[in-house]
Amino acid sequence: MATAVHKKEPVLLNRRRNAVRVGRQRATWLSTHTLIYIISALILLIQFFPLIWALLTSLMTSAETTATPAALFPAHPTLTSYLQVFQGELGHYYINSIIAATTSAALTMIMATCAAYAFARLRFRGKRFLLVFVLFFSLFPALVQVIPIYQILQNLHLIGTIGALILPYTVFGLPLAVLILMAFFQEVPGELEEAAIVDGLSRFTAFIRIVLPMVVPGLFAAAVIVFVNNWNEYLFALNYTTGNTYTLPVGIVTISQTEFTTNFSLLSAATILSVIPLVVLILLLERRIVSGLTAGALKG
Amino acid sequence: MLIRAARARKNPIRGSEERLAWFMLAPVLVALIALGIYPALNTLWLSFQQGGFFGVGTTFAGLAEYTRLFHDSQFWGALGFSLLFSLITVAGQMLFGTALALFANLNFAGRWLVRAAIIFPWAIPTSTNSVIWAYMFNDQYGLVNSLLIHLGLMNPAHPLNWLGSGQLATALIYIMAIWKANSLVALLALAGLQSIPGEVYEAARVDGASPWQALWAITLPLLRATLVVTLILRTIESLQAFDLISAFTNGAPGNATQNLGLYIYVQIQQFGDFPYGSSIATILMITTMFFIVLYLRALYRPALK
Repeated sequence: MATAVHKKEPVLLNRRRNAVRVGRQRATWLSTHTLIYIISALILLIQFFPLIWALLTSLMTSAETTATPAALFPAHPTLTSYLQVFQGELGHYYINSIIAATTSAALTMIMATCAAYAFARLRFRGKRFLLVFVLFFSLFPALVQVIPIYQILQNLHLIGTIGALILPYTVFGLPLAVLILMAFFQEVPGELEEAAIVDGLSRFTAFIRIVLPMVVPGLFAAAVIVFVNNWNEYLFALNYTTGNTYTLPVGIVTISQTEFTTNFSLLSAATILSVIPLVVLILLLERRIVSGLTAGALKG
Repeated sequence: MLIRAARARKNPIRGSEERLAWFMLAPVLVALIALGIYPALNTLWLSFQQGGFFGVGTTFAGLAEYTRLFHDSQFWGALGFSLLFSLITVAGQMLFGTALALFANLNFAGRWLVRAAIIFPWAIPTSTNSVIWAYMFNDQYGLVNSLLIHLGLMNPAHPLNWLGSGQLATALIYIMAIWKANSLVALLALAGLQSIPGEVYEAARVDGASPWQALWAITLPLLRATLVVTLILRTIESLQAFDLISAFTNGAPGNATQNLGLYIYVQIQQFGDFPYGSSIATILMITTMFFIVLYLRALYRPALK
């Protein structure tokens, strides 16, 4: 409608008006852009604030970290704390975290891939009921399960071993992984599989050879999300581990809460070391993580 | 059911498909029943017991632990803290998370860095994050007091003991919780935004709507479904909060910041009172269940219609 009105106006007037409009647009364009970058800078500062502070502290000497008021910048940046982390118990916790998080993420992925395929591609009775069951469990409070799972692990003689973490982590990662992978399986066109079956492959072989390679991005997203959840888990680790099987989150808190011997520089170095791999992973995989999270949470 | 079963028997391909499905589902279902359904029923059962130490030597006591709950002021304090915490932090997360998503959905160079910054608080372990925040607000060696002193806003002789005051500590827990979980709200809202077709905005602009009007008339109504689901998810998770507070104040000062999660933990780990811990857990489970049912209905109602 608006353009039709313009066409009727004299050309000269129209041109002058356009020039004014372009000038005004450029001015607002510039100011909106400055505004966008100011807001961006603010967001970056607020979101990364604790990380920046931990990074600065990790480079301080332990004398600097207990100065009052606190030193804002390390006067003589040093990497001693990082070396200490690797030599001390935190290094041990680091290895525990890696073993627990990777093993359980791998087990979760194997089990969840099969289940997600069945939900997405196979016809069977009771599918809707089972799907709601899985979804229900994904929201079920872990806090409530702490005691009974403790008793199960005790009967299996797993308390105090890494196995006490691998077992619950594997199971608690399942619902989310199933939901994410299901969304990805549903996007694979069915004809490909049918063609493979006509060519003489069994349903299961077709799944392994044809369908699975097509959902690699989904497998990737799900694996990252499951891994991050395991890596950060605290409640089970706190309850089911003892001194030498602590994972990083528990180890870091334990060290920080014994007030008298707290070495903030060491603590920050450990924090940085536990967070940096994830930050790098996020920067590289931002898009895939977003698509994976949303696939699981909304399409489920 | 019978007809379907008969059909399945007649059609060998259909039957083998069904067998394969159960074969592929079995590991997940067994695992979820063993470490999901069984423990939940066990918690319920334990809550009707009494006494014992770390679950050994408990005796059946009916509703005794629930009557005890009813007269326990610490329990009511923790319940109140949990509910208020959930209400305030989820409101804050929804507001800031949606705003962040709207901003990160704009088209500008360097947007990826903003998006990565938005994801970051999700990836850092909740407990580790709480440790850093506790250090930042430490009255002696903390960054915040140091900044205030350097800016001349605080007398170095009288530093503010942030975590020593129940009200200040509670406020900080709210702020930290909102900061930490903005990420998830923003991520889900961002995906919702990307599913709105660009033509809708084109049409609105042609009709002369300002961007502000478009936000209220188009974006938010179309985002409603996503936001409702996110709201329920956040509510469920905030009721379950444990690491966040445990590693920050551990319920102190006094019991001013103790929520249900921490109280369950205290009963289990410090007193070894499994039945009492289980009865608190059961209350928490029922509260959460209410929101899970809401979630399933919000999610499935559109599909069922």
